[in-house]
Amino acid sequence: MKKKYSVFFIADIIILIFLLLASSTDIFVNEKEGEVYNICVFTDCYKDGHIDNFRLGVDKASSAYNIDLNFIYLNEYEKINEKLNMVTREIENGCQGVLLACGDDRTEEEILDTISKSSIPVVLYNGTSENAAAKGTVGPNLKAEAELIVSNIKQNLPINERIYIFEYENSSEYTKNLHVFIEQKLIECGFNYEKITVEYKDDIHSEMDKIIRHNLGSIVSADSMALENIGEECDYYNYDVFVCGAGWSGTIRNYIEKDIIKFTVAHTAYEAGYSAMGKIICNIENRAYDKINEISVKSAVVNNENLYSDEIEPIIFPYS
Amino acid sequence: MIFLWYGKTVNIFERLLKKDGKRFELRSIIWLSFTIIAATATFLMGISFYYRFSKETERTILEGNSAVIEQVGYNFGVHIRNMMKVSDSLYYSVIKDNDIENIFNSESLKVIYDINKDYIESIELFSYDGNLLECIPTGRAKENVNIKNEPWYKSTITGEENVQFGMPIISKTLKSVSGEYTRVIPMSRVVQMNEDGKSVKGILLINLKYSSIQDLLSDSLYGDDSYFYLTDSEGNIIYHPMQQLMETGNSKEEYIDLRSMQDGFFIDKSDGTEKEVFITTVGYTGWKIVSVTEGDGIALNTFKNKLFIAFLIMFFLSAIVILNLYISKKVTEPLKELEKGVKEIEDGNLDAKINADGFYEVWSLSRTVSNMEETLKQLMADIVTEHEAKRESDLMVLQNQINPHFLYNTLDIIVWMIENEKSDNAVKAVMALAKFFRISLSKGRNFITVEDEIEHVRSYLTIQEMRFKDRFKYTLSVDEEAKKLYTIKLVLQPIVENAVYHAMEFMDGDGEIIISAKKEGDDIVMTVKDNGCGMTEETVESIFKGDMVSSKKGSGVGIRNVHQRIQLVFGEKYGVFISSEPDEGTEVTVKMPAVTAEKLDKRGLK
Repeated sequence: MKKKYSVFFIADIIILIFLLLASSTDIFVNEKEGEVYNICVFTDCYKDGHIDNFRLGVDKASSAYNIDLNFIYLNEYEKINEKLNMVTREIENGCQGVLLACGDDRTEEEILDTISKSSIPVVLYNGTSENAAAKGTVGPNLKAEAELIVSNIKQNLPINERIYIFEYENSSEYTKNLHVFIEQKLIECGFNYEKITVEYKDDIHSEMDKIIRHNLGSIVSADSMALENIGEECDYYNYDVFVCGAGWSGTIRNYIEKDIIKFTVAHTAYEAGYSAMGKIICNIENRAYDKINEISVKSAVVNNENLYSDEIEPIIFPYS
Repeated sequence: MIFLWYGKTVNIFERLLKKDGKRFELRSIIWLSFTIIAATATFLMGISFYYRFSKETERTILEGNSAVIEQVGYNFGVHIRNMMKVSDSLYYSVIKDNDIENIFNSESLKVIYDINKDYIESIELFSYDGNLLECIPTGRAKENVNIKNEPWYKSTITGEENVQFGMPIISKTLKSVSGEYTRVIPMSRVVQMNEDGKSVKGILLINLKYSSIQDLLSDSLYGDDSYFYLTDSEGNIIYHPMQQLMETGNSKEEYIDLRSMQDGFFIDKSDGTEKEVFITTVGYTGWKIVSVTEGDGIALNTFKNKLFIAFLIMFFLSAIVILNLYISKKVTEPLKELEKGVKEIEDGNLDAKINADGFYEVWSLSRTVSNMEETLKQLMADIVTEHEAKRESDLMVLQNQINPHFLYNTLDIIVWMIENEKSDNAVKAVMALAKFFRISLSKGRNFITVEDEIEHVRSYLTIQEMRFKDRFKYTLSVDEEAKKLYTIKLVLQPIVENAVYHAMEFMDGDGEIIISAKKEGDDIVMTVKDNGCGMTEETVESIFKGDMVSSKKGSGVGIRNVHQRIQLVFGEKYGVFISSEPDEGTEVTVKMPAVTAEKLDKRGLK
């Protein structure tokens, strides 16, 4: 009988200790918010409206997911080494996850190589990479965007209209890839096109001058900066030319309002930023994120008529 | 199922607590009953306190929440009223009945704007048909702006209130600064102005910064599980912390039809989880501030608090059980000592020590039992002593019954022999008599050897032969084995005496008495056999009953005397056994256990 009492007594003590520790400490049950995640966002993209909205989504996710966020604009650093040094510094400071929005493939790969040494998960915004460090991508569906652009061109322009695709030499890979899809779609639809790659803003002026003077055709660009410059040219010189493209900024908005840019395709960069942060958290915690490595966000055509509509407003004017 | 489990539980307890499966131990009853009572009381008190405390805490939290939301509503109302005052100030101090040209040159207008530019994005004045006339800050207005299609314009024109508040919009009238877009809440009113001396209507639009409302409500959060949102009187959301995600379908606010809801508190379970909802209406606008607290936000409902309560209950329960076990043990231990001692006494150990200590009553009982044990011991000793003494006394009395008759008769014979000069016979008689008495006395011993007992009888018969000349003959035999054994003295002589007096009475020389003594197994068997007149069974019975009428020679007392003495010492299995046939003869058997000298010493019978 005594042995039974001892067994009960010991079991009782163990249960009491467990209950005390479980209720008063975080050893067994952690009801608190969870640890704070140290996440870095690196971007060297042109700071257009998409990046601004993307930032808003990232900031919202930071407060929702308990993230200590470092948002770093790498385009403040000219040389690749300086950019890599910044990345390395953040890794050494305890960065647990990275969201990378890089305009340049080479820079993207170099940064990924730097990060891959430390097994930190990376999610790409508007990028693709075979690097093992890249755990997923977030961004618009380029084919769908190309489809939207070309279908709207088709609605507004005759089939024999020549389309000039403008891009900068240092346009982002997202822009260049989108242009490739636009080209494919234009071919499918029977349009003629010509890609014009320029190095400087002045080159846009000279090229546009040619196009306008000889009424050569219409202009499309998926580069926000190029689209702004084109709009500026049209506004300044009063060009009457069909301009459209993809990208978003306040300047583009102004030109749309003025009907200088006929339409642009914008995507929900806010949602991209928010979702990307969620994906990084899941990678840090080794959780599956709907088992999808690519997250596509919605894109829509924005023109003068729907600029302030209820459908378009959340895409281009997100609440912070 | 419940009854089955109840029955099983009761069985387990009975097995654990019943002694030998029959009766409950006092200790078990004490600790079980104390434990049940204390545990039940503790549990009930704990539950009562928990619910009371929980309710009080919930009530306090609700009151706190209510105070917070009221404060938020008050602050928001103050903000709205301040903005309305700005509108009023602008209208009545600057615009009303003032020339359009002078309005925006007015320093008052600039001052009012500067003072309030943390909350005001812009102040715009439109013609009644929607054309922008002026804007502060200057230079921010877009060109060719017409607001005729704007919902806020339409409600201003048609609305009943002086000042109209619209839903948040992206300002279309202002140029974006650095590409940023401006979300504003339009506050508008119809105004009377002067244009070229004529009174004309216009629309005064004050764009309230959406961010100031956002800051006012988002800063008011009071916990991770609580948030505010703002709707118009129709329930359309003006501000929500997750508004952007709601717009893109990544988040959802369960629709509450606020149109019919009164201000106050209620529980919403529309999405399956319990939420506490406070509603307060902002005056004038009819907007509603809604506070939502997730169910788990209430402190006591957290999983950890429940674990802590479980810990407390289990801790106190364990403490009660252990304490009761200790108390019951302390109470019952002395009783167990007492029980142990009494059991030993019951088993015959009158030297058992009863050391029960503890409570006064138990100690007192223990002392009493000890005293009782001593008394019992004393009484038993006295009884044994008395019994022994009585036995001794009886033995002596019985023995003393035999001696006097024979002495008298023998002395008579001796005198006669001496008188008749038969000195040889006289000497023989005297010597036989001396031997007879020597053996009779045997120095006061009650046990003599069988050999001596036979010699005693021989001496007797020698004398009796002289008395009853040739009336009978006799033989005496004793086994060698039986000689050294011990017998109660004077057991054969009375029987032989009876044989002489009764059996040989009518014999004329052919009487025979055969006396033998031998060891049979563990017994001594001494036999006196005669061929005399014998006795009937009734006579034999009456001898042992003591009904025998005293005859002239003897009363049969001797045989009964011998029988009683034997049984007194050795028990009822032994004694005198008579077998007799009238006219045939009688055989008297004396049976006793074979007692050696050592046995005699051991039994203390010498």
